[in-house]
Amino acid sequence: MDRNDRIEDELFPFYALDALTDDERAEVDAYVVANPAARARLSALLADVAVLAELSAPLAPAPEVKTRLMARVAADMPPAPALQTEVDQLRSFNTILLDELAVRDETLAYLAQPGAVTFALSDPSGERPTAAGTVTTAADGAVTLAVMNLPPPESGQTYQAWLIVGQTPISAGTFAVDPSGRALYTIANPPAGAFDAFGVSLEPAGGSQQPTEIVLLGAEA
Amino acid sequence: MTETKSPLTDLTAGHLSDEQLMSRVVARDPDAFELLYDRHAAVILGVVVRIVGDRAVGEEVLQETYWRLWNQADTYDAAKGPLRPWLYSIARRLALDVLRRQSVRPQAARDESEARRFDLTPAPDDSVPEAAERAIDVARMRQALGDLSAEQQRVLELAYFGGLTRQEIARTTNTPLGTVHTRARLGLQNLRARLGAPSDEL
Repeated sequence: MDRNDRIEDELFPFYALDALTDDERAEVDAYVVANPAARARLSALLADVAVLAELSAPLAPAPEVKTRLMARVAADMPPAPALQTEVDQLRSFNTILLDELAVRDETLAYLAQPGAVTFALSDPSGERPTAAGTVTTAADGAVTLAVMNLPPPESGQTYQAWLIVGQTPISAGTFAVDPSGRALYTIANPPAGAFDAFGVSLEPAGGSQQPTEIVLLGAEA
Repeated sequence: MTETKSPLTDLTAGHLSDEQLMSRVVARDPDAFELLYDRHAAVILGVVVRIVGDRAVGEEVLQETYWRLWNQADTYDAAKGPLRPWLYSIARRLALDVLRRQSVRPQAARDESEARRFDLTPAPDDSVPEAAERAIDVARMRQALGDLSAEQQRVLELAYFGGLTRQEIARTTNTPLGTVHTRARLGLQNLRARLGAPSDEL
């Protein structure tokens, strides 16, 4: 591109001195964008003008200026990625622990009721050694089942609770477990009178008339 | 992911150019930022106080200048030139904005004698070798500026420290606009010729 004498001789020095109007500055910017040689000449002028600043008497700023500035910068820094990940993990773990604590508190509240009778359930087949449960009968007759480590059933299946009187199982309804295999299930309107044992079975969705596969079983000692 | 860079040490710091440090500031490196502060804060404060005429106000402008450097680091384009003019330009504009808000003209740029205006007292906290080195450089620059005509110096002063446009300089000095252009152009040309080297090496 040809050298534009008017822009370079008249505007360039004042561009470097930062003393142009906005329109004039835009004109120079547009000119150098398409003209690398002119851009280099302008860059040299900018460096020349920097000399003017350096001819002023330097003044050491008060130390507080730097202290305030660096504090402002530090406050603006994002947490380091590794630290942020660790914080996120701890927050997630904390949420899990709080949920677990809430479930245990709820279970303990049932177990601690005055007059309550509790007995344990386990897998009679031994295939699920970590699966466990408790059945609590409160003084007012309310029956509550708490289970843990029961794997969530596959699609189309559900867990079903059974009150066993003599040899006869009486359905106490179906219930779901959370992803960690826990459930706290209060049996609505349990049948009047004592029951001899309590079972949990795995059934097709909707439940069955008779237990198909007992996964937890227990009775008051 | 942002590249992890090791903290700057005194050993490496001196070998990094302003532009290299600036690329680290863009990557949010406070150590590089601090080094740029240590390198240029005293000169910038000198320029700013010269424009606004008040040290406390000047220190506020200095802090804001560096805050913008931190926050707007990605707007610096090394292809357009060295860092120093860009940084000085931020400081100068902020100082002139303060001046305009106060409706006070930059008397320091107009009324003081040449000796006072180009007083070269090193910053008190400069280390002795750095201060001596800088004093040599500045003495050389002062000599170069002193070789300019008074008219050329005045145009450069009014534009850079006074914040006047070329038209305002023409009116202020009662000089034809063409003459103002010539004085500015020749003033910068003479300054470079007398310094005898690209000024970014000074």
